[in-house]
Amino acid sequence: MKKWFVLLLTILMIVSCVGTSAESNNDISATLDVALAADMAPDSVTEWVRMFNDEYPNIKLNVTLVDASNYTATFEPLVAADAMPDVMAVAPHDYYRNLAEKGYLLDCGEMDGWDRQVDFVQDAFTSESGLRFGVSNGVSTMVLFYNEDHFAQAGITELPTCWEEFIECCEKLKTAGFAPMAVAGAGSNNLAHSFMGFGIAYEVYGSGYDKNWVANNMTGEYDYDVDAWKRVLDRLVYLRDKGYFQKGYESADLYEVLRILASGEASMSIQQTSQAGNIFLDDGVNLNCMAVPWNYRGQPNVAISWACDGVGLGRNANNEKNLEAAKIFFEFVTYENAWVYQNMVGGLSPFKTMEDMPKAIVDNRVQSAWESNAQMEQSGLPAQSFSAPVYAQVRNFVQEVTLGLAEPDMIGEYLNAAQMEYATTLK
Amino acid sequence: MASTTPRFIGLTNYVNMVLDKSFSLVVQNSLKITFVYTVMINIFSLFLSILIYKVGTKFGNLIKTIIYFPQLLSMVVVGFLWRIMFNYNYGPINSLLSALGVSHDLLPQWLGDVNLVIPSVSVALVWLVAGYYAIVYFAGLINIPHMYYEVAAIEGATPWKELIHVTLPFLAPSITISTVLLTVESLSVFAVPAAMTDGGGPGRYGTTMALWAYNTYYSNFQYGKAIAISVVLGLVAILLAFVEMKILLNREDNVV
Repeated sequence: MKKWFVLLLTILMIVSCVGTSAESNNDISATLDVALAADMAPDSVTEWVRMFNDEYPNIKLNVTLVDASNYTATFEPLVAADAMPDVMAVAPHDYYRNLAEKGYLLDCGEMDGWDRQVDFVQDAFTSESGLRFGVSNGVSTMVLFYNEDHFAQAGITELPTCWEEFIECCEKLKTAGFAPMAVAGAGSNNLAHSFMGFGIAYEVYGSGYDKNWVANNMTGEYDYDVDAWKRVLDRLVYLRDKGYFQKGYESADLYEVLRILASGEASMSIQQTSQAGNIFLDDGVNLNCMAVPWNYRGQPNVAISWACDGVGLGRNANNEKNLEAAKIFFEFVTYENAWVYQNMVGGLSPFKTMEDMPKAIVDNRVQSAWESNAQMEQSGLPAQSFSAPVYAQVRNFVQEVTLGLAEPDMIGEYLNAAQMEYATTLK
Repeated sequence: MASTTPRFIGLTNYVNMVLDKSFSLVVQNSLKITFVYTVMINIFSLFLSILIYKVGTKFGNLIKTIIYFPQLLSMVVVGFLWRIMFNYNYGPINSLLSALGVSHDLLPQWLGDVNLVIPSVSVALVWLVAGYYAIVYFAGLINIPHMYYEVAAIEGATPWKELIHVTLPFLAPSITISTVLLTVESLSVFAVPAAMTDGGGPGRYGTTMALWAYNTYYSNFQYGKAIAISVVLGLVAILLAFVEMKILLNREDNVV
């Protein structure tokens, strides 16, 4: 009996030591180099890493936080060394399309998140030859954030629906003692997205001067020294000269503007919906958002909407060994737990249906503004619509006009020269 | 999409650099920073070193600790620190001015005014760098034989004459090396203005040559042009260092 018992125990022990031929995901061991954007919601990266470590203790993460406004400073040396991170921040931008074309980014079209993205986001993350190089963190649209309490105190009962009503609204707010608009004079990127973006949307696109300006201006032979483009920043100058910007706007950066708006020190600001998490703090200041009323009375609205930056798979020497683990992490942050980021920024999912991101908490104000903007014609976001050298001058130009150092009709002087320089790289 | 295959284009990048709208302004900004480094920081460091020397070991060590402290900080941290200091709405400097009775409308836009941005950046740079060179000068000061000061005192030299005829001649080697190092360092000033001015603003009025090269490379993706700027910057640094060495070493020889 004893012998049988020992034999049975031995067999059981041997059986218990036999593993299955197919490892479960939780058994994969690897060390991944991960470089994720940290600007909008750095805490989301921390949270992802914590959650991932809990679920996949055998996959170690070497995390680098990168500045979203300047990914290239991080990635260029890695490109030179052919040592891209396993999982990395990417943007719907020529630089990354180029990296994808050269093989530094891997195709992620087979990943769960890819097909679920809305069509224009898929297009934004597809390279010239069709390589699908990233899954977006979300979609965004430019809206006018406004303070409901200020509006009520200034006697504004109806929201402005056109430029003329918007000016009346600014005047009433100013008369009531409020700073009508919070403007980031030191944030050239923010100025380009708001004032330049809507100037182009209405004076160039909406006026019918050039409905295809995004494609046309990338040819290297575009002329900005024409009336439509010269008018682009007229309204910025008008608002500034009327004294509708907050005191100290000249040196305020984006984060100060968000703080000013969120704390009720100014009444309105043109910002992207992806900043809603930094604006709608729900601490006693009643804020809302709406379509930017830049259209003249009787004219249709034009919106600016785009795919936000995302995450891609980088190619490196360890890819064969790490690829499976990299895909697990990629899926973890771009699909399974993409809601972590969305809930922190208060933004909008890049997926076609809400069922694809069930844990996302969508703010009705943001959702409503998105749906309203989605009905309109769409112009391009400047950062994604100019060549890099021209966009650098766009930023200089809009900031110098804001500060009174240049006039709107000098646009050709700024952009044509950059365009000619860009053209030499195309030849 | 821009071509990314390198090809020979002669001096086009250098021509583009000179024709760029930013060129003359950025050169002016860099020259102002070079002036601040070679003249103001040199003089201030010298003043600090003499102060340390005169107050004796106990307070001298305290001053040395305080003035050397900024060197322990990252330049980006220094930039952000001074960005907060100069903030229009809640910066300590404008708060102090408000407390002194300056009306809100008259408060300076330190980092938003094109005329004030380089002076504001300069203040941060002086704070960052002066301590290090004060220590360099202090090391030179303590090596001056004391008898020369005694002789000067016996002959009734004023403190100014003592400085001109005893201190400065003996510090000539330290002045030479500090001036050359400060000049070269001034041309590579990058992180402090980048952090203080949100990348070189307002407009391009806070942009130095090194920052311009960085922006051209990493933001504009004009790699060749960025390298052209860097090459010019390197050559200017070598040229200036050579000229300074020539002049200052000659003066050293004359002093000896």
